[in-house]
Amino acid sequence: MEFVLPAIALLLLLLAGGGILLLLITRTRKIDVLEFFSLSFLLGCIFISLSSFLLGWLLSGVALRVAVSFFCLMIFGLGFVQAKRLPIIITGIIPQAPKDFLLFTILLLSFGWLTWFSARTGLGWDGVFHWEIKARLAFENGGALPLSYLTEKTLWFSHRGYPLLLPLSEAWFYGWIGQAHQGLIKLFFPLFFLAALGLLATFEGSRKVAAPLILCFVPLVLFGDGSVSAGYADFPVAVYYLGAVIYLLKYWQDNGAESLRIFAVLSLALPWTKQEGNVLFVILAALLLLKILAQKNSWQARLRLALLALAPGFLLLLGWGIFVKVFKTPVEQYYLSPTFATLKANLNRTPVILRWLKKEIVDWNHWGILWLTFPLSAVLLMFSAQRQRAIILTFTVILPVAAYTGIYYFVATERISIEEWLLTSLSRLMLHVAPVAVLIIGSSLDSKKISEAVPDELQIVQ
Amino acid sequence: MSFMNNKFLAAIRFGLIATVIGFGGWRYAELKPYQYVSYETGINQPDAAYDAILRGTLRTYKDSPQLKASAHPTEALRQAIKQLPHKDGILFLGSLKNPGHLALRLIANTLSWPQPLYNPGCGDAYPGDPPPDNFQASGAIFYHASPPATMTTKKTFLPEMIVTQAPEKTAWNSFCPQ
Repeated sequence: MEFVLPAIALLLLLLAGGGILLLLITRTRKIDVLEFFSLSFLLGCIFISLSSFLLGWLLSGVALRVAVSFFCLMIFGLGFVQAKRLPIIITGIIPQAPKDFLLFTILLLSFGWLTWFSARTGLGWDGVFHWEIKARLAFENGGALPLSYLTEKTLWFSHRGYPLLLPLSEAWFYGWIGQAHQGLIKLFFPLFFLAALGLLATFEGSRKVAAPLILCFVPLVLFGDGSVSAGYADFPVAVYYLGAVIYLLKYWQDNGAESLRIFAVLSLALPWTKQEGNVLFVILAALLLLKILAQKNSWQARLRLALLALAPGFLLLLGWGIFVKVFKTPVEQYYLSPTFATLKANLNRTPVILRWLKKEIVDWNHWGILWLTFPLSAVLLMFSAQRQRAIILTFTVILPVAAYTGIYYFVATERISIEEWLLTSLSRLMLHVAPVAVLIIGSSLDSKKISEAVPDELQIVQ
Repeated sequence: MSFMNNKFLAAIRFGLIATVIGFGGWRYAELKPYQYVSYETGINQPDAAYDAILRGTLRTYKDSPQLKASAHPTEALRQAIKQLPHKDGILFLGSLKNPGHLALRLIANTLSWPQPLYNPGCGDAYPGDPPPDNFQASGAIFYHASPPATMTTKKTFLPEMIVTQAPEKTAWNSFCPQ
């Protein structure tokens, strides 16, 4: 029974995610099983955490679990009917080409190793004291976070105002297991890694081996603070960011409502997973608005598109902020007021910030040579068929890194020095964009040369 | 861009992927992740993370007959806290300078929920989480500190960590150990 109950919890999560995905697709199409699994898992976590949060106001314990399970099955049922009607065909379940066998072997070996490694190592500090603690308290409260926790003075260390995608997803498994189980929950985190591999393998429509293989060899993804095995929210937010970037690119190329809908749902998870997700969401929103503004539709049509894509994320971002304010959750005073005067006063931090950024980029133990290869790959991609894609992808890496480094001008240094801030957080912040950097390297490795290129404009028309 | 022919690009691509993977793999191997693998930590242990921290922090673990008997030190601590009566909260007493103070306090804080766990920060420059005025302690956890003589109901969790019940009749105002 030890594995059966968490397996049921995972199955329901996947069914809910799969159902949502099938409902988001509104035309006849084929979808790769790897992409289908990856998106089902990511969307499933969003659904489970949000429904637990919302239904948790009315129900708790078994009633809450039954209600969430019912909605999981109902959404899958609706999605299944939609898939039959259109039809939507899931392909590639049985590997046929040698490339498929190679890819499946890589996925199996890397996922197997990481699962074993996770099972045999403990959660990291933040994994235990920032995230798992919320899941534990939610479980003990019947599946929803107790409101008294938000103002509990002595639990200040657990960052009470952090968003809840990860804790409530963990609490979902705890509910099915029947206890807060720090051992079994470690099997949950490698699924984010598998989802990232699936997205990287299928982002161009056909299966690619290079990008997932590269991700398997980025040391900080596998091991250390913020890695998959540590149980932090940094890697999950990185996977949601990767998914949102991929669907932003797809929308950029096909102008399809389907891509926009999937982008909207994936991007709403960014502020729901981690506070820094707000920064990532705003950057993606700005890029999407650029694209929408450049279109030749009426302004009403453009407004409708912008609302469709960005309203869910902004509602969640603002809603959570209001929720935290209404319940008077004390926000730790880590940041100074974001004014021009503060920036001016702290400009002397620039050399320290740049020195640490340089140090991080060439930290082989964290990244191998990922960040040295990234600019070269971006240039290679510029010479390839998809120059527009190269530019957008490059921005989705550079802008967050620039924004994150900018945050260090506004951190309070009364108790923690700027060096300590950088030491403890910079690598984890860069992890958020690392899978997209891997995507760029993977794209540059597989792209066609200029003479074979189809101009971007033609691709959009097609 | 005539030099950007297929063979040239293919060579660059192959070189890039081999270098990225080779270098990353080498650094990962150099980090020796397997040395962090513990067969004491497993998916069958509900308190795997807490147990690992407790075992790692409490250096007398191997010599402690109480903990040797218990394969799950977190469960032993949970039971000790559970036996305390419910009042305004529990105190965690000891200096922040002691090894593992913060981790043990946070674990105790989580296990004591919904009873809050206050830390007056005895002798530390950092004020800690002092209890409110007119606080009625249900008990205290002394870490690297001795309880006052008036506290007779105590359970030694470890020589370094003592869980005590607050005295029923005697007023206890000075929380920090002498």
